[in-house]
Amino acid sequence: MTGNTGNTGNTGNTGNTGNTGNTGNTGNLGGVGWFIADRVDLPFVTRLAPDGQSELGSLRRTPPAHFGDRLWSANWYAWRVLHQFVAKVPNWATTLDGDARLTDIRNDLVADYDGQIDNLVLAARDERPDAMGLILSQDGEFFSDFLAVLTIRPGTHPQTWRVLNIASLIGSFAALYFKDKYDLPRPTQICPALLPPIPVPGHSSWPSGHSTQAHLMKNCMLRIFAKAAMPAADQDVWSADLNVLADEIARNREIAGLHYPADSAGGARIADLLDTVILTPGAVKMFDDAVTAAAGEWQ
Amino acid sequence: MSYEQGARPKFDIEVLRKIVKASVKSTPPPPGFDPLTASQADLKQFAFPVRPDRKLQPAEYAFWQKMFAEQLAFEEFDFDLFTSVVTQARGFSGQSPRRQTSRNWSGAYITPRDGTIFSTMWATFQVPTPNPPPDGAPGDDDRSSTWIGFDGQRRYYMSTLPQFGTAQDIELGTGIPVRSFYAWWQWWVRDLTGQAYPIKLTAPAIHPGDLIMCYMQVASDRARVSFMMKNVTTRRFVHFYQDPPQPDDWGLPFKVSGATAEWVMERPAIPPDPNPTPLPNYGTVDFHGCGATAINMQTGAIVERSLSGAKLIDMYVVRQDPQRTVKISIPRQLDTTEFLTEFQ
Repeated sequence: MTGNTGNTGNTGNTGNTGNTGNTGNTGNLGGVGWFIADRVDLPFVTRLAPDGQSELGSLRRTPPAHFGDRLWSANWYAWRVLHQFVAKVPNWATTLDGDARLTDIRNDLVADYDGQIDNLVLAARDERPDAMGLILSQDGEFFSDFLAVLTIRPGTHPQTWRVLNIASLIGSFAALYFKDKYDLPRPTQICPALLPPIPVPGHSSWPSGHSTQAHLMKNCMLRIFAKAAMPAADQDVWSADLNVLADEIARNREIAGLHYPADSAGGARIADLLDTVILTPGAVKMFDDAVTAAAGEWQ
Repeated sequence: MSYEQGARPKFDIEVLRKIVKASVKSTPPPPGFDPLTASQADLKQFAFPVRPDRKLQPAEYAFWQKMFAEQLAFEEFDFDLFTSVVTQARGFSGQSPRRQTSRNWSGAYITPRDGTIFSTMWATFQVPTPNPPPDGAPGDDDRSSTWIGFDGQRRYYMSTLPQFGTAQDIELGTGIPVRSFYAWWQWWVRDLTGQAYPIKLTAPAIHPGDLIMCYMQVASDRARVSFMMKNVTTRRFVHFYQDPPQPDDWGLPFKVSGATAEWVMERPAIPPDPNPTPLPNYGTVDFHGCGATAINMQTGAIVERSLSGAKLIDMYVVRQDPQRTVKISIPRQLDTTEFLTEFQ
């Protein structure tokens, strides 16, 4: 036995930072996920135009002025919105950090880790076997869960898909700021026996990235529906469904032993503050435009 | 009724009788005692469980109302021990699908969620009449039990099984089959010899077709279980509570996990044969008015649970030529408080 030299590391799983999205499974909009075949003996670039006067590789279009918003994949477009978010609302973190309720959630956790872990022990014992499928599937991404509840696909609702990606990225960005600032220990650092069925992510516990992202995605969808002037009764249905979905995504991370309930609560609070205090209309134009475009898909 | 695989444990029946007696309390209430209006202090004095809150536990309170709606004869608590020591086998574990299988259980169970654990449960059922199964043979001793209980489904230390119900047996001799019926309870603990005994209640008497209400409540310290049974048909009632079994070798004291609440039709085993007995043709058992409450031990908040999302357990046997499994008792859920188990 000379050892396992074949495993050079698990570099592929970026899902442990939250909802980074498996773009290959969510449609032909991610910019990755498939291969294009070409003939070895007759590359496409060498083929003759129908008039036989030129090779396709010699033909040129007028250079476009830009790559174009439309071609930006949803996940990469989200980065552009994030840049504008940081530039336009530079004090976002200070504002959130000054929220008394968010502070209480964190302080209550630090004051009583034991109480929170008691909850996780019961969850590991009683709920984990039933929740295992969700725990595993939502570890990498949970865009699919939202798409399923919404009964859409990226191709049918590309602007909505874009907003979901924006919400996911801004949520992750915000969560990681507070993870960095407070650097609170993971539950398994206090109660190793929780033995999560998936690796503990390589960043601190509070707040939950999954919870922040899922709740912000929910909030953004409800904003889209309101903007689309959807009947109130229908909005109520979506609100019920998406609230439960967001809570469930957060709770499954607790059942897995990765997060305290206070991590989920902190993430949900951050998502609500981002929605109501930070991303107010006019604050980040690219975000507003994305929501408006998405609303057009629900009218 | 729980039976365990393995060699027959050796235990002095009289010693066990003393142990059980010391762990149980049942005080007959005075004439006219009404558990619906008595103070909680009086309920405690006469070994009744805590009466549920009408507003916070409406389903549980409604069960109490039904149980005590009429004048009851409070039976004096007494019990008999089986002369043969019988032992437990839990037939399934580790399955999480909605529909599961077991060699000895059929029924339904629910699990708690959101940081809660079960503290009370209840049900009503009609005592079935056991008949010889289609493949019954002279000399067969076919047994069945109908019960409610907490936990006992997995192998961790605290997964003990307080359970409570009725037994319906039939012996297929060479002449007329002999049927027997009785109420029983057991606080089973895996590998704990003294707890291998189901304990027969001498009262109330049980007859085929009797309507039975069963109720169990775990004390707030999780180290005591209260039992109440009403034979609705005969208007006889028994109640008692039991402290947990003593662990072997100074082990950690047992407490009720409250990790599952189950309503079960079972076929037990008769040692030394670890295999469950043939299941008599019991027809159908209608478990109705089923419910449970779960408590958050951190906050004290109580939630009522129904059979919504319950997992259903099919009982099966292995048959030969060709070798296959055959379902012999299948539960069928009717709504969120009622399900049937049906002999196949």
